[in-house]
Formats: sequence, structure tokens, C-alpha cells
Amino acid sequence: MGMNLDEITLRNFGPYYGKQSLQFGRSRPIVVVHGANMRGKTSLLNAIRWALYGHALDRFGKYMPTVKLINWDAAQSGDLTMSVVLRFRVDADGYELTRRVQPKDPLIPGKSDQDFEEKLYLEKNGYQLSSDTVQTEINRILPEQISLFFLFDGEMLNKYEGLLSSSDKQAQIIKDSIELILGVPSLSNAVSDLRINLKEAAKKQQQLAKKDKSAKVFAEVAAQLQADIDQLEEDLAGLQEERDKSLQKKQDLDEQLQATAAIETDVARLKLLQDQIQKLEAEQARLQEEERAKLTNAWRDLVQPKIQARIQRLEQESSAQMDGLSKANVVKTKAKDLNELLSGSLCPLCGSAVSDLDVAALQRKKAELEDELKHLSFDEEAWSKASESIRRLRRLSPAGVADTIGYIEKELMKVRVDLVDLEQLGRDLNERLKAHDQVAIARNRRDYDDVTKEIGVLESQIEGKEKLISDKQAEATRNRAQISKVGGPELERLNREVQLYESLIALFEKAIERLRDDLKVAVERDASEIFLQLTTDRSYKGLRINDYYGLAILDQKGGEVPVRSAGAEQIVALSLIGALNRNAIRKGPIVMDTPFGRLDPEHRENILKFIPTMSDQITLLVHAGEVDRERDMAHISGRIDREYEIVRVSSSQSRLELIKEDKNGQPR
Amino acid sequence: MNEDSRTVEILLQELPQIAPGISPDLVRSIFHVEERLQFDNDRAEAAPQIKKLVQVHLEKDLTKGAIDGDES
Repeated sequence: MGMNLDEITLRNFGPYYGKQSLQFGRSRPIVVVHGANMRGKTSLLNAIRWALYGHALDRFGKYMPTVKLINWDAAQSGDLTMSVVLRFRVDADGYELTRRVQPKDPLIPGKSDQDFEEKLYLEKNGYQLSSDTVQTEINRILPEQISLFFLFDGEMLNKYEGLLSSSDKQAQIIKDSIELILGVPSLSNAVSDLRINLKEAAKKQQQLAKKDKSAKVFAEVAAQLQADIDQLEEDLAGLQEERDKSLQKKQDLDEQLQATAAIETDVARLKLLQDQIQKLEAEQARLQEEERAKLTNAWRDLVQPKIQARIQRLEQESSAQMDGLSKANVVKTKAKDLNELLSGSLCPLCGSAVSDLDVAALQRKKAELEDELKHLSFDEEAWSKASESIRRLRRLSPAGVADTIGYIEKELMKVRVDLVDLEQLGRDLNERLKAHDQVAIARNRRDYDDVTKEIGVLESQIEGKEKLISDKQAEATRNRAQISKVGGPELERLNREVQLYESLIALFEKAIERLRDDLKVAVERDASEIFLQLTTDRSYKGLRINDYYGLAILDQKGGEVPVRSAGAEQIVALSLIGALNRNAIRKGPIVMDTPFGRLDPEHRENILKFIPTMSDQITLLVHAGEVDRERDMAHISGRIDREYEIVRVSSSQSRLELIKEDKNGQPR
Repeated sequence: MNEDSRTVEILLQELPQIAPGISPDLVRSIFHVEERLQFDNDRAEAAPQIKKLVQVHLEKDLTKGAIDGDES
């Protein structure tokens, strides 16, 4: 089943005021729509989404309120009717899909989605389908879950791999969507439906077996096992519901936290700043205390010259006293020797007799010495006082604190300057944070951590229940085999029915296992082939797929390349999408918004050459910053059916203008 | 590759090993019910449709068994 778009007609949708149309490629696969940012490229992609599924997506993948899609000028002029008509073909069938919104009450201007009513019409080969089958028919043609592989925003491509490796709800949605596009659900749904029928048949078998003498005991066991399984399944459903609610809560919190990430960073910076300020204040207090202590002795340095002078004087005094004492002792000794000489008649040195003449001279000398001795006095008290004063004054030696105080002052100045800077930063941060509810943000962060833990616990409980159910089911199967073995002929038909369902379940389960394995091999092979075609790095060998359809880049030795740039992420995601489209159960038109945003010219060239092979119909919505109209378009010139320009009319209006058309091509 | 050929091929390859007594037609029919209804919002009619297919298969099987039994 393959879908091809013919034409889209918008009325008052986004920046497109009034009625405007765009025709898709007919003779050649590619249509290029050029438009500057904010002109309406994404609105064009959203118009296709909205026509098919009834909602548009913002840049974060969230649903946009319909009322916000209505052209502003039209709404101002009182025209609140918006519509998109999409004409397309599926194999040989022609379709015309119309989705329109209008105010419920034409007299009351609609302000929210509740004030509007939506009309949906689908014509198939000129016949209108009944309204209750329209959305089902659209889902059969291009299911919404797989539309993300056909209608996508190039800017989002680099997030695919990150989403696939995460454990949140979005990852599960993408994984389910991948399995859906590859056709796994038709087998897994079969297993679920066969189990419903098996349960019903087993219940009947059990009721009949209760009347059978030989099988009765097994019937009772079967009843008990079924009751256990029912209870476990009920518990499992409860846990899964709780897990899904927690996953939703986590995703909501994650979005809120992403929106307030800058504030969280500011709060963390402020906390750090406050810690730094606290440390600096402590350092300031310590330095001030140290300075105070040094200043207590600093007066010593100021009076030091006077102290030194005083010590010098006292030392001179003390020295004079000591000199006096020493000289007196010498004079006393001399006087003593003279006395001895005068009291005898012989010289104590030579033993000669001392003459009267000598005695008289000695008497004079003695008188001189006694006179000298009178002048040589030693004041012990004065000497002792001087010594004590010197000792005391020396204790008041210089503190040597002047340099230290200078150093402390310098340090204090540095600390004060840092403090002023940090306090100013703190005031700025506080001013910025004033407008936000920091308590709520902190609560969100706590809730996010709590819910992540809760999910972990729930996942493990779910795993435990699933194992128990699987064990009980195996036991029930063995028990049913016993009923079949011992039961009478009246059980024959039910026994066969039960066995048939069991065999069919085993067959479909085995097929799921093999299909998943085969698909992974096929997707890995195709994604690797596309990747090698797109990448400019010749050192890569290919890609390796994991159980979650995440892809790792392999180097020439087969090792995984750990770090990938945003551009590499985009190439890997494009390779995955290309591989999924090759293996998809549905073929459809690809509409890519801003596909080359992050890529260098060489990668752009490779992708432009690859794009025509992705689908029979490709629409590229590009801006001048990502493609060079002459150089880049030359790579696909032979494949372009037509080119449009989104022309600015005013800040709230844009117009679609056909600027090039391949007139020689034949309709495909 | 289209879903029908790829998946049915796997189912029919596994059939002789897992459930040799089941006809390939029954397996194909069950798969086609699921393939047709997989994108429908209301899949509630899938199980009853499969049940009908199984009952018909069972009926044929039992009738055949009875005929085979009479012949022997």
C-alpha cells in the first residue's frame, strides 16, 4: 500500500491567509519549498499532519491548540473558519480529505478549542465515506504512529538516538512505532486474541472436566491455576497502569525541568556563590582577628628606639660600676702588698733589706693608693637596679609585626574586593531568580528523582509478575494436557480446541521472535549501507543495531565509536529512517522540514543524492541558510518536479508562490 | 519487502515444526484478520473472527477424523 500526495489547499491556516495551494511532484519525485525562518515551512508540514490526524506539533513534539493555528489576520477580520484539503492517491484509488474548524456559535468569537467544532470528510473515488470510518481509513493508509518516519522535522533528527537509548515513555513510543512500521503488531495482536479464545475454551473444558470422574481432579487444579493467573494479570494491569502514569508524570516533569533548566543552573550558581561568600567572610574574620592580635604588641615597635637608648644608658652605668669595682680591687691588692712590705724589713721578692728611704717612698705610695681607693666606689644597689632594668627592657624587644600587619592588610583587601564582586553577582542572580518560583522548581526536581525511582521499582515488580504469569501458564498448559489425556470422549472436541489454540499461540510467538530477528538484520544492513553512503568519514565500517533499534557507529575494527557529534546523530537518524522506510509495511510521501540544518556542504551533497531513493515522493522545506539554491540544488536538479517560494506578505501573512516547474516531465 | 509475504513466509516455515496438524490456510486466515484490523481503533472483532475460523477448522478436522475412522 503506497500513498502519494497530489495537492494541498489551505485556508486561513497559520501564516497562510485566505485560500492557497501547493501541488506535489507528479512527473519527478521532489518538490522544494524555500522559505526564510518564521515564514511558514513548519506550518506547511503541520497542515498535512493536521489534515490527516487532527493535530499539529510544536518544535518540542507537543500538540498545539487548534485555535492557535488560525491565521491571525483572518481571525481579526472575524473569519474564524480554517480548513485544509488534501488530495492524494493510494495505489489506484483517489482520495480527497477535508478537515475544517469553525466556531460552534457564529455570533460568539471562539477563544479556545472548546468553542470550535471540527468537520472531517473523506471522499474515495468520488464517493464520500461515512464519518465514523474516516479516521480508521486514514489510519489504514498512513497510521499516525508511523507518520513520524514520513513527516518530520530535521532539527529533531539528532534527538532520535538519544530518545531510543533513554528509558522514558517517548522511547517506548518510538520503539512501538518502529515495530508498527515493520509489521510486528499483526503477530503480537494475534497472540493476544488467541489467548482470549484459549481462555474461553479452557474454561469450558474445565467445566466439562469437572463432571468427568478421571479428569475432575485436574479440572480443579485448572480452576485454581486460572484464578491465580486472573489475579496475577489483574495485579500486572494495575502495576502497568501505575508505571504508565509515572512515566507520563516523569515526562511532564522533564518538560517542566527543561523549561526551567536555566533557572536551576542559576540556583546552583547562587548556592555556590553563597558558599564562596561564607568562606570569604570566615577568611575575613580570621584575618581581622589575626590583625587585632598583632596590633596588641605593635606599640613595642613604636617605642623600640627609646627602649634601646635606655638600655644603652643602663648598660653604660652598669659597666661603669663594674669598672669601679674592678679597679678598687686592684688598688686594694696593691695597698695590701705595700702594708706587708712596710711591716717587714726585707723585700718579699728579692729578700734585700728595705732602706729608710724606700720606706718613706712606700709610705707616700700607700697614701696615694688610699686616696685613690676613696674615689673608687662600687654602688651595688645601683648596679643591681640597672641590671634588672636592662633585663625588663629586653623583654620588651621589637614584635616585628609591621610586615605581618602589612601582609594581612593586603590579604584583607583582596578578600574585601572578592566579596564585593561575589555579592554583586549574588544580587544579580537573586534579581533574575525573583521572577521565578524556586520552591516549585526544587519540588519538581525532587519529584522527578522520586518518580524515576518509583518507575524502577514498578518495572522490577512488573517483571516479577510477568515471570509468575508465564510459569502459571506453563503449569496450566501441562495440566490441560492431563485433562486431555484422562478425560472421556465428551471432552474430545474441547480438548482439540484447546490444543489448537496452544499450538497457534506457540507458532505466532515463534514467528514474532524470528520476525524481530530478521527485521533487525535487515534494518542494520540497510541502515549501514545508507550510513556509508551519507558519511564523509571513511574510517567508519557501518552501524550496529540493539534491541531498542538504537544504532551505534562502528569503526574499521568493529568497535563502537563512543562520541558522536550532532551532525553524526542526524546522519545516523536519517540512516535509520531510510532503513525503516525500505522495510516498512506502508509506503508514503516524505516531507522533511529543515533537513540540512546541521550539516556541512559535503554531507549535504551526499544526502541530496540519497534523498530521491527514500521514497517515490519527497517534499523538502528548506531555508537559505541550509542550502545554496544553485550549487546544492544542482545535485538533484533532474529529480525536482517544482519549486515554491514562501513569500512574506506581512508579519502575519505569507504566500506560496510557484517559482520553477518541470513542464517536460510526464505525470508518473 | 511487504509484510504479507515476509511474515506469512516465517509462519509457514515454522508451522511443520511447531504445529504440523494445523492447515496453512488457517494460519494465513488468522494473520490476514490481524493484518486488516491492526490499525483500527476498535480491534474487538478480531478475537471472535479468529474463533470462527478455528471452529470451522476444528469442524473439518473432526469430520475428516470421523470419516477416516469409518473407512478404517
